[in-house]
Amino acid sequence: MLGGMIEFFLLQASIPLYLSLIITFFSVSIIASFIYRVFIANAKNSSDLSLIIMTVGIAMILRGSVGVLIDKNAHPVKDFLNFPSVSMFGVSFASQYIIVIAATTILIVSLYFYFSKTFSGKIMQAVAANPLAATLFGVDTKKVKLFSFAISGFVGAMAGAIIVPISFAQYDSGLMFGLKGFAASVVGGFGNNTGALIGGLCIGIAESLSAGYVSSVYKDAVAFVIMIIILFIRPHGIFSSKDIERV
Amino acid sequence: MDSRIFLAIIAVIVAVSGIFLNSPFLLSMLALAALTLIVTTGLNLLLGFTGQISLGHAGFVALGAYMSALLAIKFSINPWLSIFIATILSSLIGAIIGYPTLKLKSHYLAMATLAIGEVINILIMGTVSITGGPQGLTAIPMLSIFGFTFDDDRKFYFFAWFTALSLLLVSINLTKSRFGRALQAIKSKEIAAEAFGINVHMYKVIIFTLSVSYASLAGGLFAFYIGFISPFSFGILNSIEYVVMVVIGGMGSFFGVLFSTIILSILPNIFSGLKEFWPIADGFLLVFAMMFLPDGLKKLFSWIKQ
Repeated sequence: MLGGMIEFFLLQASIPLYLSLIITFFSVSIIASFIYRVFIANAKNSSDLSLIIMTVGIAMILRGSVGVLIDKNAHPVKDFLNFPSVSMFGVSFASQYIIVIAATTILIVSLYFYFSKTFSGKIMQAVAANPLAATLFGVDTKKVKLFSFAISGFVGAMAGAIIVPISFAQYDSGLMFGLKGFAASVVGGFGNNTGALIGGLCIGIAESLSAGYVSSVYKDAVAFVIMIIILFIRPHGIFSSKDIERV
Repeated sequence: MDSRIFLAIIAVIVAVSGIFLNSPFLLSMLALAALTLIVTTGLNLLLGFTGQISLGHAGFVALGAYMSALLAIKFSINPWLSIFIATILSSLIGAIIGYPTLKLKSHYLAMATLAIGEVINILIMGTVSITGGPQGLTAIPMLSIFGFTFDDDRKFYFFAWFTALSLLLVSINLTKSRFGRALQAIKSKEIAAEAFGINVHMYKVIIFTLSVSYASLAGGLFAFYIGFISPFSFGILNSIEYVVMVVIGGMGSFFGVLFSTIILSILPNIFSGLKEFWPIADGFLLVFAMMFLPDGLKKLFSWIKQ
């Protein structure tokens, strides 16, 4: 949401596209690290539950402030490419979809390399798996967490900024995307990038099919119904077979 | 002090203020606070005692409200019976939803319950022919018993508080039982609880179902009291508001939650001009509570007790 809104304002102020994207990504990632520094790192009780409650609170503050300070309207954003649609194999679609697909591919490949090939990516995984053990190995977990907040802010801003030409920028637009992303990762299996990708594709196709054959009203509900069914029959997701804690 | 004695004192205060308060605005506000209290008591059992978060409770309130109203309108079933049937049905739905989702770790559970609340809202918005969609549902009959109709605010005030405080008593007794101690064991250390032979998943599903039934009962009463329901009363902001009430009241403290529920449901009505700012205030309250007051009002409360 923040990514989309900032991008909208920068473009409104007729800042060139590339520059505006860069500013958006970095400003959101700075905001995210600021949030970690000020709020999350100072939580009195750092159990999972209280951190969840806290992040919900922060989301409410961000969303409410944008709604109050700016407005609650949906703002259209121009397509990034200067031609509105392309036809390929007899199908025509908006040019922005090319950007979305390209950006997603780049993101997945680079995240894959980051987490499996670089040292700092491996450290991040270690902290996620067992923070105490990572600390014992001399990892500064706070720094790693700060960095992971910055990355997630960056990625979130990226998603927000490139989706707004398709879906408009609005103060409460982030929620649905976040939830659907979650549904996709459940369907595909946690901790599995390929799974999440395929889960996302499954959900997207199911949504479009249901909008076409049943009714577009229930389109948004489809993702979650699929998620619940998958949780019932295959709690580990379709692809993953590990990493879910069933105590 | 025994919490049951404290509950009796509160019941007396409530009854006395019910007799002496004369403004219908105040009475109806307090009656609604009592209905909210039913939801937050249920959520407190789940969040405060078992440590499982639900960000979709408004969805379950909506489920109860719509089902009981529809049963009463479309099938002309007695309102009491329809509330009862609706509560049973939504508990069943809660159990079906809770069974798979409660296998998830806490942060995934938060997302899943958030999604469930949204789905219920989308379905209500979508099925215009049945629920009236965004226009809402009107012409819901009044509650009455033996020719005595709950048609003014004072009558409903007493009824709502009686229900809320009885459910509070049930919850207090529940948490003092073997079952309640098992829940607290789950909250503090799941693996240890499992090692002591507690079927963690089963307990979580039971308490989730119970908490859903509280929510849906409150929803049913709300529908028959106001006589009009629309999906906008049961959005995600309402779900989060319930969580705020439990967190500020102190997770695991029934009386803390009682006070925070009353205060937080009255304040927005008094400062209705600041409606835009409430979500921000809610956010700040959550962050503030987690940073400085993880025990919420509970702390204040135990201090008074001594």
